[in-house]
Amino acid sequence: MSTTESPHAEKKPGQNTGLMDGFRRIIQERHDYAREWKDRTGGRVFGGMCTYVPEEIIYAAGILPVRVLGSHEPQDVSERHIYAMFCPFCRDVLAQGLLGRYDYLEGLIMSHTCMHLRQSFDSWVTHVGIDYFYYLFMPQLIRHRKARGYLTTEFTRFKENLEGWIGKKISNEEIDRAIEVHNTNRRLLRQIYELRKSPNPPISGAECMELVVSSQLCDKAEHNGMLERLLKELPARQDLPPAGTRLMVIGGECDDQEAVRLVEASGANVVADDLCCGSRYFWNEVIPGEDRMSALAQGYLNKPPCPLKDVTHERIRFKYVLDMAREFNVQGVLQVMQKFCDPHEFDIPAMERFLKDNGIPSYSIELDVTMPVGQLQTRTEAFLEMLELEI
Amino acid sequence: MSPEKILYKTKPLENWAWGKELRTKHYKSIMTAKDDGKTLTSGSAHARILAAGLPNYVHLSGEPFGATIATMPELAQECAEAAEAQGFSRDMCAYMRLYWGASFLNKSPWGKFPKPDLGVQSAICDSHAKWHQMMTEYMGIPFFVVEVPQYYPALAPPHPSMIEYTAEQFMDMPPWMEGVTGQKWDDEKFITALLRLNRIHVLWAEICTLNQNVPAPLDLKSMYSLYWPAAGGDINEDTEAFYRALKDEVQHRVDEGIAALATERCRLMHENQPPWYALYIFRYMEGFGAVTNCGGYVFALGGAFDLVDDEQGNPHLITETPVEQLEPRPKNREESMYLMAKLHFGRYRFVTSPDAKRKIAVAMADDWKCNGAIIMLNRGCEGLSVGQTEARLALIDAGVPTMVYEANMADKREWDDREVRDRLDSYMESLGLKKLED
Repeated sequence: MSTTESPHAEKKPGQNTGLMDGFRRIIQERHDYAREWKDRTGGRVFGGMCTYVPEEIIYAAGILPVRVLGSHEPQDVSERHIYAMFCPFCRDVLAQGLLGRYDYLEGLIMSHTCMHLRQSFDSWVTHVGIDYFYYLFMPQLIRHRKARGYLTTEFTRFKENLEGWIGKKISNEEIDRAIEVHNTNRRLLRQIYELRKSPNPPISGAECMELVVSSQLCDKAEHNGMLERLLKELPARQDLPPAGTRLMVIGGECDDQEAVRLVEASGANVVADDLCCGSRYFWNEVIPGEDRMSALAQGYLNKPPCPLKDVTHERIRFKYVLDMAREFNVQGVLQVMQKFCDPHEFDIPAMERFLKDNGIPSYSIELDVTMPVGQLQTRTEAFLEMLELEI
Repeated sequence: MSPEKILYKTKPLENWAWGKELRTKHYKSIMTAKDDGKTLTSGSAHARILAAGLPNYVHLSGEPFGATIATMPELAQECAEAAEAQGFSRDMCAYMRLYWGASFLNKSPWGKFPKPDLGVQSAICDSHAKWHQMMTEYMGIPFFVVEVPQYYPALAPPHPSMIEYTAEQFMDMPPWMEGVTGQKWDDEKFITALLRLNRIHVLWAEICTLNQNVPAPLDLKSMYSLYWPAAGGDINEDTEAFYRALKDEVQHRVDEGIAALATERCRLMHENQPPWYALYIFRYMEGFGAVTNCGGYVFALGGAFDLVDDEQGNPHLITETPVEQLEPRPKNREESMYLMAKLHFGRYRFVTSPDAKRKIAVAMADDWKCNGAIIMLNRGCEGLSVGQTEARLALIDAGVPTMVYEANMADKREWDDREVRDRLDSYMESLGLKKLED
C-alpha cells in the first residue's frame, strides 16, 4: 500500500473542492472523523498528549493516533482537578476527557514533557474511563550521548507493552511502513513550508497551521493524499493571501488558527513558526535503520526542541529559531505562550534578547483558552507598526 | 478529635539552638567561601550531594536561599521585582525569582550575593534545570545538569533503565568537576557523604514518624526549621549528630507525653510549602487547639520514606532502612553513582508524581491521626502543586475534612491575610473548634 493510499479513500470526510476545506473539516469535526474512521476500518484510536508521543509505533499497531487538544471553549469541569495556575491548555485538554468528547478512545499515551500536562494525564487516568494508559519519559537532555539508548529502551518497552495489549507482535514491516507514512507526511508538509519562503507565499500562516493540526488528527495516509493534491493546486492558486509584514510565530502549544488568522488580518503574513502545532511537529524525518526503535528514538531526539528539551548552554532551540527566521526572511517574531506556561516563560526573555542581538525584533503575547480579540488585534497592530517604522 | 480540656506538658526543644547554629554556620561558610578557598557550587538543595567528591566545597541551595529571603518581605519584594524587570513572569517558581533577583541586585540577607563558581543540578521538576541554565548563563559560570526520568508510579514502577540512565549521567560528573575546578574528585569522600545523607534522611523520617503519637511532640511550624539541615544543609558529622540528638529528644518527649501544643485538641496536616512570611497562621490555628503535625513538604524533602500498601490496599508512609544496612558499601565510582541514582528515584516521586502524592496525603492523614487537612494551593511552586487538587478530592473521599487556601510560598504580594484567616475560622468552626480560653 502506498503512503498516500487509504483503505477507505472513497469516503474521506476531508475531501471536497475547496482548497483548505478538507483540512479545516478534519479539525472542526475531529471527533466525527475518528468515530467514522473506526466504523470504516474497525480499528482503534489512541489519544496522544504532546508531540513527543511516538505515533509510528501506535500506527504500526493498526491504531489511529490522534493528538488530544482542547476545544477553546469556556468550561467549568476541570477546576476541581487542576489548579487554576496551571496552563489553560492542560485544563482544556482535561475538560475534553471529563466532558466525554473523547469517549471513543481506547488508549491515552503521555510522553513526559511538562508537569502541567502530567497533571492532566493523571486526572484522565483517575476520572476518565479508558482501557489503556501509558506514560513514557522523553529525555530533556536530547543531545546527551546516552539519550538515544535510553529512549530506545523507552520506545521498545512501549512497543512491547502495546503488543501485549493488542495481543500480537508488531512486525518490522509494519514499523517500516508507519515510518514511511509519517516521513512522507513530514516531507510534504515541509515542501509546503518551503513555498512560504517566496515573497508572496501561496498559503497563509493560519492555513499552514490547519495543515499541521489536521495532520495530528487524522490518518496520515489520507492526509498525505490531501497534501499531494494541495501541492499540485497551490501554484495555480488565484486567491493568494495578501502580502504583509513577514512574521514568524514561535512559542508554546498554540493550535488556535483563529489567533493566527487575526494576526494576519492585522497586516502580517505568518511565513514561519516554531510551534508544536507547527514546524516542531514534523520538521525532521526519522532516518530508517536496522534497529527500528533506535531509529525512531533518534528521530524524536532530533525534533526541534521545546524549551523543556533545551536545558543546557547549547541553546539548540534558539539556533533553530534564528536559522528559520533567516531562511524565511522574517521581519519580526511573535512569541506566543499559554498563560502560566513555565517552560516558555523561561525562554521568552532570553529569546527576546537573543533575537534582538541578531537584529530581529520580537513581541510576546499570552494565550488563553479563549482569545480576547480586541486586545490581540491592538497588540499585534502595535507590533506591526513598530516593525514598519524599523523597516 | 478530643473535646476534653486536656492540658499536656510542654517545653521548648533543647536542640532548637543547635539547629539554628547549623544554619548560621552554613550560610557563614557560603559568604566566606572565596576567602576560605572553598569551591562554591549552587543548584537546588537536593543537588548539593552532586559535588560531594570535591575536596573542599560548600553549596548554595537555591530553594532554602529563596525561602530565607521570603521571610524578609521587603528584600523579597525587591528581588521579585528585579526578576520581573528582566521579563520573568510572576507565576514562575518564587524561590527561583528571589534567587535570581538577589543575583541581579547583588544582594543577599547577609550582604552581597555569593556568586557561585559553578552550577550543578538534577532536574527533578521542570523548573530546576531551566532555573540554573538561565542563572549560570547570566553569571558566566559552568553548568552541569542531570535529568531524572519521571515515571507514573500508578502504572508502573521505575524501570531499571531509568536508574541506569541517571547513573550514567552522574558518571560524567566527576571528570567534569575535575575539569572545571582543577581539583581531584575523591570517590571515598563522595561515598561517605552519600551514605551519611541517607542516614540523615532516615533519621529525619524517624523523627517525623514520632509525630504520629498523641500528643504530637513537634509542631509543623518548628519542623519547617528542623528539617532544613536534612533538606538543604551541609552533609557532615555535625548535621548527622544533630539529628541523632533530635531524634533522642523527640523520643523522650513521646515517652514523657510532652506535647508541642499543650492544648492539642485537633491534629491537622498541612500540604505544600508554607507561606514563609506568614508562619503565624500556624500559631493562629493553635489558638483553636489545632496542632499541625505533618506535611508532605517537610517529610518528602528531608526524609527517607517509602510508600507501601497494606493487605487491604491502604497506603502507608514508612521509614526506609538505611541503605548501608541493605547492601554493601559501594566499592567504586560506578557503584556509588548507581546508588545515588537509585536513591533519587526513591524520593522524588513524592515531589512530582500526582498519583503518589494523592496516596501520601491519605496515608499521612490516617497514620498521623489527622482530624483534617489544609492544602495551600501554591502559586509559587508548580512542582509541589502538581497533584494537590486531586489530593484534596482523595482526602475528602477518605473522609478527611479538607480546606484549601491560595497563596505563594515566597511572594507576599499574593497573600490575603483576611481571606486566609476567614477561611481558617470557618474551617475550625466546621471541625467543631472554638477559640480557646485556656
